[in-house]
Amino acid sequence: MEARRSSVHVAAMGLMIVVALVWTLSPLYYLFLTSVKSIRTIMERPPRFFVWPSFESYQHILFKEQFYQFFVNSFVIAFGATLLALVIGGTAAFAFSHWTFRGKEPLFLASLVGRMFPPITTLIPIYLMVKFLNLLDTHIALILIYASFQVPLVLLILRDFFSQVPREISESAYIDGSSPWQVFLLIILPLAKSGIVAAGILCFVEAWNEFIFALVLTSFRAKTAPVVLATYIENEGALQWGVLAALGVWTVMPTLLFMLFLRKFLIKGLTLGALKG
Amino acid sequence: MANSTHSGSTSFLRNPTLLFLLPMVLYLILWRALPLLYTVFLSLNDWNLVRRPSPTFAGLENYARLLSDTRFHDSLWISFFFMVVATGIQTVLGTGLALATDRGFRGKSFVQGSLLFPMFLTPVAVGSIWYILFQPSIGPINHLMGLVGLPSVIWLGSASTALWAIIIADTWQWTPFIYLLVLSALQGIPETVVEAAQIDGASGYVIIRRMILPLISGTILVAALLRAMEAFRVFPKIYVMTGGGPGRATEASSILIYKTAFRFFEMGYSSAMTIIMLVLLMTAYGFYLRVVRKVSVEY
Repeated sequence: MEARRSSVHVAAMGLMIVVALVWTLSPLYYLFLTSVKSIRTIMERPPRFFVWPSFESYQHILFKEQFYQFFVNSFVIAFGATLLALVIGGTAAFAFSHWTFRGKEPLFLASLVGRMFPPITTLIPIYLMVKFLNLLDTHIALILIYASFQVPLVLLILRDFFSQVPREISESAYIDGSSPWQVFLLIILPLAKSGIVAAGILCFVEAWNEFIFALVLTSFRAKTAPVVLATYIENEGALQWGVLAALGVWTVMPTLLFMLFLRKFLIKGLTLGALKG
Repeated sequence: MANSTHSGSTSFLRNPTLLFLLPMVLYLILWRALPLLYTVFLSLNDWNLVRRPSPTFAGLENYARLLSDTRFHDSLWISFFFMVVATGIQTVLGTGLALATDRGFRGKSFVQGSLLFPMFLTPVAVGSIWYILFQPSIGPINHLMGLVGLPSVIWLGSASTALWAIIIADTWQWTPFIYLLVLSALQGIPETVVEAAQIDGASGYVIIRRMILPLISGTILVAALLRAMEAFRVFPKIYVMTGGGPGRATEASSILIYKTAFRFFEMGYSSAMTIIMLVLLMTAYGFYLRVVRKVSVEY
């Protein structure tokens, strides 16, 4: 009796897991499938769920319309913003984790407020500011803005990792005559490597995924992948499904790769950022 | 109290604490605090970017106009509806999946990893995926519904289904968020607690209902609140899948704010909408902080 019930139980659990996997993975499969269908097979009714891949759509992206430029833009911007956020947030995280000073807790909380209010609340002023500085449609504008979103996150994650480094290590370095910069660069940073990777990956993914600021602030030269995708749907949505799907595949590629190879870091950063924020 | 290591240093600039902190403080003031204050300022001004060269002070006029603006009220309702329904579905599904996949079975890490990945994908790309899936002409959803005898639906083109289509896409992407947080709470429950109950003869259902759920209910609430605050300002998916349409059926507040500023160029009016949205979100955030504090006291 007990055994039978538990085997029914296991079967029900198994079924639920299979359904969840199909639900989660099949949309991505269909995106990929659409991107490798030829123009003729895309329009076939009923839709085919297996095809011999054709790479027309990818050729179109790469050689006809030179969309790769926009992926380069996305990469440069996400990478630049990540570096900047790590430097600014990292140095501050060091101060918060290793020194005591007046107003420390209030300042820490005030810095995190930057992450609490949604980006859209500053969209208009930042648009006007960037326009005033003559930086519309430049990479540097998006780098500066995305970094400002990520600094509180970096602070939050790295303060945690830096405080895990035992005080004795840095204190003995001070006694040996090291400057704070030397302690930070030569002792703390190498010991908190995994935290920096976790914070960095999360920054990169968030900057890569950002949409509304890129939409408002870029028009051609600094256009990023999500904007290209969205405007492609707006302008020629129903015309070239294969190209749209191929653009989608390219856009999710970096995060997919992170997920496959660096999942541990990504999830660690995310849980730290979400639960403590 | 100055920092302990360099308390002898007198020079303002040689103070290392300041040197390490200043870049961040200045940076956040310049790019986050000042722009926010400027939004508040603009919300008190009449400024159509096309018609006027500079803002004109208008007092609370924008806010008064918002009181009777049914288009704005509708957008708040759409955002609210979307938030409650999407968060509700995602919380139930995410918690259920976490309970189902927490305990050891073969392929656990593959299953957990696969179930997580939609949350990291570019929201615009997720919108595009579901834009394709919901197409009557080339998408598979209507085809599959036809196989089981359901009628064809113009998902994104009809006012009654468009918002639901976006909720489905959002659920696909963000159920993993709840799943991840609940899963990590479950993994924090000591194995021995569950084992002791099993020895006492408690069934799986009772263990979950009476022991595990009370232990993780705080985390579930925190996860749902975080998700709700994000869901309230949903933008990319709507922009891509419907653009706010058909008609105004999916015009959530964030879409209306964007359109008011960058299609109609009403900078002041759009700023006032933003401030209302911010006040609502901050109220929710205050509630969230109280919950978090209570939850951490309980542990």
